Amino acid sequence: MAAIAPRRLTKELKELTMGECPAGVQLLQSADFETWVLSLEVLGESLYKGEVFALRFRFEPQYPIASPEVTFIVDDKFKAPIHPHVYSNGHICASILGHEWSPVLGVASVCITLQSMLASCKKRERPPDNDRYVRTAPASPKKSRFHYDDDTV
Amino acid sequence: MSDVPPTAAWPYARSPTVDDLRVRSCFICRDEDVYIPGQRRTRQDHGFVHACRCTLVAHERCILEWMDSGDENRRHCAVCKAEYIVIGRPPPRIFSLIRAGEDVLNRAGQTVLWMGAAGVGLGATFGVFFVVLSYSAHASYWMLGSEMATYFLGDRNGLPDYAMLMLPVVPLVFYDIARSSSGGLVHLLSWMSMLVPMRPFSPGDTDVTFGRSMQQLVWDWPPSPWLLTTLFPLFRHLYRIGLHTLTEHLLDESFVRRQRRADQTRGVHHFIFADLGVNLLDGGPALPQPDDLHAFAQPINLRAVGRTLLSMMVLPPLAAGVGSLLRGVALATGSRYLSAFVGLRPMGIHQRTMLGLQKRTGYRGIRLLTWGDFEPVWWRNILGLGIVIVARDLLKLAHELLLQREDHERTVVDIPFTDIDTPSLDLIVV
Repeated sequence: MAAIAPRRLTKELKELTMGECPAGVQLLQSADFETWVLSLEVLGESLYKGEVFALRFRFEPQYPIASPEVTFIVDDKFKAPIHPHVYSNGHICASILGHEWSPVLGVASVCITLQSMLASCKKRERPPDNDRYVRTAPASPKKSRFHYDDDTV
Repeated sequence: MSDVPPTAAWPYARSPTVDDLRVRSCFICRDEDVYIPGQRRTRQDHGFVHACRCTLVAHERCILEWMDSGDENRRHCAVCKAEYIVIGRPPPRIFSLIRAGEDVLNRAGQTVLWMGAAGVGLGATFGVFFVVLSYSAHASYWMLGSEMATYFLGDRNGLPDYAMLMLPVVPLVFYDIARSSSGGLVHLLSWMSMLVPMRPFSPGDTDVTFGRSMQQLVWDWPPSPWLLTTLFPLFRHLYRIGLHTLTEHLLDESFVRRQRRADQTRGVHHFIFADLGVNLLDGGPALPQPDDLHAFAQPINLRAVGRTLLSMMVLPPLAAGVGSLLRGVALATGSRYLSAFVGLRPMGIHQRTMLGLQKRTGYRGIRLLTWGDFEPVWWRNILGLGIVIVARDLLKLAHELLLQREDHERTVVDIPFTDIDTPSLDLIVV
């Protein structure tokens, strides 16, 4: 069986460009079926009001059987949000990107989940083990073994 | 199972099923199947299945791939948490026979491992060199036939110096064949072709004429080990391409990937099917390495060592067995071409008499005996080894085909929409 990824991503791309893109989310780059970049902002009142972040999605040929690799972009233009589940290198500790990933989810629903994760944040702070994690983190967060201490995300 | 009460959206007494949905969209690949009025739909048409209690539907193959791809929680629907039910066909009987055979061989491998440990003990007592030489001498006699081995490597009366150089390499050569099948053959061939050039360096053998040897190098049949060593990489390359094409044609990639992953996680190593010699996943993504593999690393390695040792012991006599079988077949059928191919010599007697004379009198003549002068037992044994390797590869392929067939015949149990309010479903009412 050929890889599902291109077929499925074609459909998701269509949905995102045909106006079904979640509010506050914009597709910045989707030239291929390997890496997409989307901008993300939290609408309404929140600690991150007015800030724009960028998410990088990386897809394996086995997507959506394999979860996408999702990180906040950290470069000259974008910074990772300061949040207890987001490390300063952009890695995100969210169970839906790990063991709770399901093909029911997709690019749009991951964006919405991350939006609501930011919107519900009460305190701007880095994860307690940020420095240690960032020093030793693998390039892909999918290789990290997070333990999800908070199921509210 | 209670049937839903008839409503305007669903005026029937039975519960709606996946076949009654106007639009079926696979929640995994997102492919859609839209009902065309008048069309008669069955599940078999497009492979859709409703496997849980909520409204999600998917292709049966997509669900199976999803379930096979990871840990336990992938056996449940992500939304309603209902467990998917899979029915498999009972495996064919030949399958259990293969499994049983593999089991026996694995155990034999373990026994050999203990024998190997005993061998190390022996080695410590009598010297490692003694153990290595005994193995090498036996393996060489199997592979070359006693006549040739005696001539090139000496007999009980004493081993010439070059035999001391050549023999210790033999275990390495067979280790290589046991580990990587066809790849090791070239080392055996180059070992053989070194035998003759090594020979003149033995004291007393100064009167060598190379003329005939050079001619033999190219034109004789069976081909000389030199020629074979040169051409072998090409043969092997073609063989691997052929095997790879065949495998790709017969097995689908997702099955192979899953198979490898399952083997890795369970720490299963097959005996018969250890190395196909072909990496089906060349260029594919690296398989995830489960962390708990370390826990198994020790026993796996030991078993692998045992199996390799067993293969090293079995391969030379096995090759010799198939070699003499080839000879037997050629003699029995009386086919001229087969006899020529396996190198049966009508005039072998003469050479052997000469050799006997040489052995008895120590007379070496004006020219050294070389490959072409002997009944080519070695050639038939090389063919035999090749046949063993090809047979093993094909057996492995057949085994995987059986596994794949079993895998393909699994079905996901389809559940009617009993717990869903029919108005929330877009149903076809004719």
